[in-house]
Amino acid sequence: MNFKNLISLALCLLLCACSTSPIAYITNQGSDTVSIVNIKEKKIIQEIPVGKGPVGVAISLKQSYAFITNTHDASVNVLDLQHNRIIKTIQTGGTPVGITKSTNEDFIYVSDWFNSEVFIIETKSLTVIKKIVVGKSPSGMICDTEGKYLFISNRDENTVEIYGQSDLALVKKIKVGNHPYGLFVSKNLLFVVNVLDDSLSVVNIQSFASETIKVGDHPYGVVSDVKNQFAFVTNTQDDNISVVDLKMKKEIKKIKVGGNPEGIDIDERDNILITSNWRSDSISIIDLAKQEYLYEIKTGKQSRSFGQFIKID
Amino acid sequence: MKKIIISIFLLFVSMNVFAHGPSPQKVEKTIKINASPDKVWAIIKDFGSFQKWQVWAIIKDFGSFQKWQPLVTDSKLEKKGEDTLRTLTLKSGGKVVERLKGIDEEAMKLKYEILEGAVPVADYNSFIVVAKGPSPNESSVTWVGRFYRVYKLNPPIPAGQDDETALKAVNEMYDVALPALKKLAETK
Repeated sequence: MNFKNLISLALCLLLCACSTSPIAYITNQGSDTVSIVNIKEKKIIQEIPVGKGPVGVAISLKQSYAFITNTHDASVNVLDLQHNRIIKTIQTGGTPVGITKSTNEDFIYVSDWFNSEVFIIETKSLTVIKKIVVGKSPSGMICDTEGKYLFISNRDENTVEIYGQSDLALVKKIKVGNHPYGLFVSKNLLFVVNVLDDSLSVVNIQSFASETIKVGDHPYGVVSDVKNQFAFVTNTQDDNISVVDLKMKKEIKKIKVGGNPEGIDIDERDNILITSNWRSDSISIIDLAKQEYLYEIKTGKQSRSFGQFIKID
Repeated sequence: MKKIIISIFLLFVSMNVFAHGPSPQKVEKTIKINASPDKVWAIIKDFGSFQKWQVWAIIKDFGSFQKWQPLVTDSKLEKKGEDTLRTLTLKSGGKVVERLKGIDEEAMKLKYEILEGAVPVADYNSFIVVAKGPSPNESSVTWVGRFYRVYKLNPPIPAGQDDETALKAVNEMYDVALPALKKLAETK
């Protein structure tokens, strides 16, 4: 290959990389589907039927799968990201709600809301290899970037449990606010929203010290940027998100989104936040740097997308 | 004996008022009214006078489809600290306590929640909003509720505490109340 060809190849690769749109996998409780949405083109690429009452989503780029929890038929769907189709349905039993991947992406953790258990799915065999007993009504789950911990919010006992990822042993149980739900972790901070307190708990995962910050009405989801400058919280009953300044430790702004926003995810490469809006059957796209509302894309019915739902190649 | 069983049942229901199943339910209804938005809004924001236009229709399936009487007979407004509460008395004898969460004059939007009572729902949050119609004497009112069923434990779910019961109760509330509101606004 001569130099000129090499340059054009490099340019082409660069262009391709730049034009790759983030893809959102949106679970629709009301239509029992997942909407696969191209964010840049502002349209649904495909609407895939899944199980009954889908809510949670986790994406493993390493395995090239998305995992969907179906609360009403006790199953988890495995969605192939290459071909956008369901390749397997795992019958877990119970009521799967929250879902997240282990840091090394070898395992998927699924919370069973009613039985106070967490199922562990091995991504290689796509089977449930283990169950552990956790606190009451486990909902949100997330793993740290170091591969050390799995965090679980237990909605009906107002706690967060911290398990070791390697041995699944309980390391610590901490009290948070009233009805903790969505969780997020960035660097040394764990974020937990407390639905009935209208608050956000920020927990230091080294010292386990925590602080509480007031947000909007019935918060469900939370994310923060990689530098932990801002946290963003969906307020389901206010139809907006709270922008929380993590240095000032308070809400500094509200951004209007669609009706009853639940799930929220962040894509720093493309400088956006996305919320999934349960009442308005849509997702809202927000400019991350400017902290301004950009546009809305229609999805299936009663979109929830509980978990990390943006695929960034 | 029957009384004791009922009391235990009620205690159980009231204890679990904020715990619920995994999926929220939605009811959203809109009605067109031939009256000005200001007039309609004036009726809606009068939080204490709900019984003027609200007719709760609660039909409880208790074993053999026993029907309950469908009227709100009284609404008492009270201040508790910073909270504005109203206690509705149903013609059936049951009571419902609701809290006013906010009134947005500009948007003509009222937000409220059910704190406790005889409606078979959990964590019920709602708003009512008035929109301008095509002419100054036309409006439309949209009422939206987001709530969960009462039963929060493992399926099987007992009759009267499932999603269908919760949806039915809220649908009936809205279906009966909205035409009553329309009538009141158009004839007042």
